[in-house]
Amino acid sequence: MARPHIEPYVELNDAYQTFDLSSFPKGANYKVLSMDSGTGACSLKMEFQAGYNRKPGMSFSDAEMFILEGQVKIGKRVYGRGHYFFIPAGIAMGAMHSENGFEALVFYNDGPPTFVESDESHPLALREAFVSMNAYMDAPWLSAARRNPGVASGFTVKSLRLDPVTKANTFLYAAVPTFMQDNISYHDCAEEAYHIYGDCSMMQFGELPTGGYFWRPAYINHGCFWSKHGCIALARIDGELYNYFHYNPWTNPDENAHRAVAMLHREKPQLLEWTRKHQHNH
Amino acid sequence: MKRVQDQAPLRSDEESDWISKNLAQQEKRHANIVKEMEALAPQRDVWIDEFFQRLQTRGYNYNCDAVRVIDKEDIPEKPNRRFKVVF
Repeated sequence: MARPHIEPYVELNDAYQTFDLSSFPKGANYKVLSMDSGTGACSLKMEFQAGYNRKPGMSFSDAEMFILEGQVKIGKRVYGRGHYFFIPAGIAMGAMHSENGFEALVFYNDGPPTFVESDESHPLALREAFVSMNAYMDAPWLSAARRNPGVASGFTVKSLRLDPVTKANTFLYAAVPTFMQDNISYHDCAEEAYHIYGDCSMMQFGELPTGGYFWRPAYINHGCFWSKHGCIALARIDGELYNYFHYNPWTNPDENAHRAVAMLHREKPQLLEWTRKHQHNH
Repeated sequence: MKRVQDQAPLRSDEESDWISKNLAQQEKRHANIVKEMEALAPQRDVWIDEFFQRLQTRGYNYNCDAVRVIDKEDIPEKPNRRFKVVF
């Protein structure tokens, strides 16, 4: 089970729904950007109304939150536009209060939204994985490719959180106006992005404007790429991102995966052979 | 390694209903996206033609800003099968 290919989806055209799960306090609305049909893990855009209050508590899922607009006080500190949290499952966050309301992207990575009132973190909570930073201010833009082959100049990323085991990564990306890159790409990982501002177009899907979103499973062609006015987006991947570049728009995901395996075979033939011989299934 | 996630309580009926409701909406959204992307096919064909023209003149970005001009005989031909972009 997984998430379907949602691309493109412009959420600004849809109304918020009342967030009425009884373990959460009232006063929030949501839109589902995408949801895993097996686990209920989901990516949400949420609106927290003026006067929103939530007691200290934790979730049984890893969660991420990126503040789009407005401010919220969590514990003793006030966080605003561009603030990013990675909250490992079981980490208790302080009481929340938003005087004037705020909008955020909220991700539950392991299951549906859960909330348990608690002043203390769960004893198994992975405290060292907690991230709290202002995504706009507290990290550098990387103009160089993270791994070759890389994207053309005029496209830049900044990493906000990296899982050291899976290489899952949350990051901002931005493109300058008139950015263009003439190739088609696919990856071994699923990729997801929400356009905070601006436009970026791909030959397959047309223009992704402000409020545009995609969840794209692995091995699906995307590109060539162009941006008229530039863009900035929050993006996530669930594994290491390698750019398989090519220029055949008509290949399908199976053919792309075969090409990826052929490349792996050329790069690490002994590892693949060992895996095959030992029927390794980790 | 023991994980917090493994100690989560069983999913409640309310949570299951919430997931089902939202998955049903997502299924409709996906079907609409598929229709919209099929309707975009004529424009996509123009974009593909323009892409192929640029490959033969300005070049293909094989790594960052490095480009390689592609000869006409190496431009792929459209296969005789259904073409879709959303899966």
